[in-house]
Amino acid sequence: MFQNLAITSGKVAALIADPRIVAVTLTGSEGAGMQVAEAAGRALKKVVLELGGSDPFIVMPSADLDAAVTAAVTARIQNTGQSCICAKRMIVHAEIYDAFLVKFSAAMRAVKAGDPLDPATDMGPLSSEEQRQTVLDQLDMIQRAGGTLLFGGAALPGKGAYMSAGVLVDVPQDHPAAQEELFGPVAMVFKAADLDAAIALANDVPFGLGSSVWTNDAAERERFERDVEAGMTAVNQILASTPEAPFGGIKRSGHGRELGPYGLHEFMNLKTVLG
Amino acid sequence: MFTSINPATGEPGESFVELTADEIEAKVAAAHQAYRAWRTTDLATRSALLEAIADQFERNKRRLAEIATREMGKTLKSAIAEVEKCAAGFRHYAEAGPAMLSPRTIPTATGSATARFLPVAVGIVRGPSWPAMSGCSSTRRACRAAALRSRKWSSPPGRRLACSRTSRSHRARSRR
Repeated sequence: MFQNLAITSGKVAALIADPRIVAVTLTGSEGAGMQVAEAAGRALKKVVLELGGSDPFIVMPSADLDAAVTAAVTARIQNTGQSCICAKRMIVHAEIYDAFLVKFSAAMRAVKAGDPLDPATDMGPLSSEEQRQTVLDQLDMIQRAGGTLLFGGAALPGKGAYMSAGVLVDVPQDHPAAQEELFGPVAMVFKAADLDAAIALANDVPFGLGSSVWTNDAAERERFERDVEAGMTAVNQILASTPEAPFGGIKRSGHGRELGPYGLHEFMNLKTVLG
Repeated sequence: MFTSINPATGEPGESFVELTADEIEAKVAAAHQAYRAWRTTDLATRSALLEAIADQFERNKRRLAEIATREMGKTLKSAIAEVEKCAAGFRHYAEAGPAMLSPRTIPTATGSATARFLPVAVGIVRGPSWPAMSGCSSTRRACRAAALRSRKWSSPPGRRLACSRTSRSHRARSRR
């Protein structure tokens, strides 16, 4: 049975404490995750959390640059940038950085924001005026910290919570504003001197949900698979969820897994029978 | 009272009354009762139910997708893809679930142990359609009842209510 409860956040802790309820799973913000985990911990209930992400999208010189650029745009603007597994930080090897930035900027400028019912639209509005303002405030903070908004990231005139797709460069990644998840259609682009620098940049956020890496070098691929701090790594493709494979993150992106056999087993009594 | 605002137009959409304490209790009690009734059902029955839910998602694809677009602003084509993905998720667990739940035999120093996956009870799922599917198909397969709550406005209740109605109609159908 599936029951929908139209209630406010304040009613959740009591439900979690109810002895008839044995487990909780949340897909939501870091703040909501902390509240749910706290209530679940107090009641000693199992919890699975799928929270925010600031996924890296790493492009190496051995990759197919055009394919990477096309994928980077889709990965950033899907759901108008409001997906936990959107690629939010493009980390590009210095050797191809300039070429990537030119092509990526051109493709991001061409993104058409408009009526979500129109099949020609690339992205609709943000989920609310409030969410759009949150993104605008974040962009403002990042620019005040030294980041440069090359274009876009602006509220569109008229009705609706529309915003143009944009590109940020020179973002000081260690600044608190840049450490947060940017839940809107604006990409941060970073230059990495080498493989180690790319991995270090990828890992330099509190989140660890997904990642997308673009390389045709087996040794680089192994390093990304092993060293990128994320619950999921997609190689030469956009990260996407699929029912067959486990889905989830590490660090402040949450814990536990959804989907596949692992998601199914999260909320079961694995009973050992001896004899 | 929750009122959905269409972010593409700023216009208000459907409104939903917040549940009273008695209504919350009734829903939790119903979920608990459902768990007790369902925990011993065979896997074939559960698979049939999941297939039926997938069918309903597909049958109501356009309506569910339009609700998502109205409430969230996501493009209709991506909303349709999300509904299709939900259906695929339910179908996956209908087909692959029984093998996932089969007992494992583990040799021990003194003989052997069997590890069995047993349902536990009611769980809470919170999030948009696709994550809700991830939780619900697992809970259904494992014979648990899911209590799902709304998350203010960033996770629209209309879609969930629509999904809830879809699920209920499945149950009714599967019992006939």
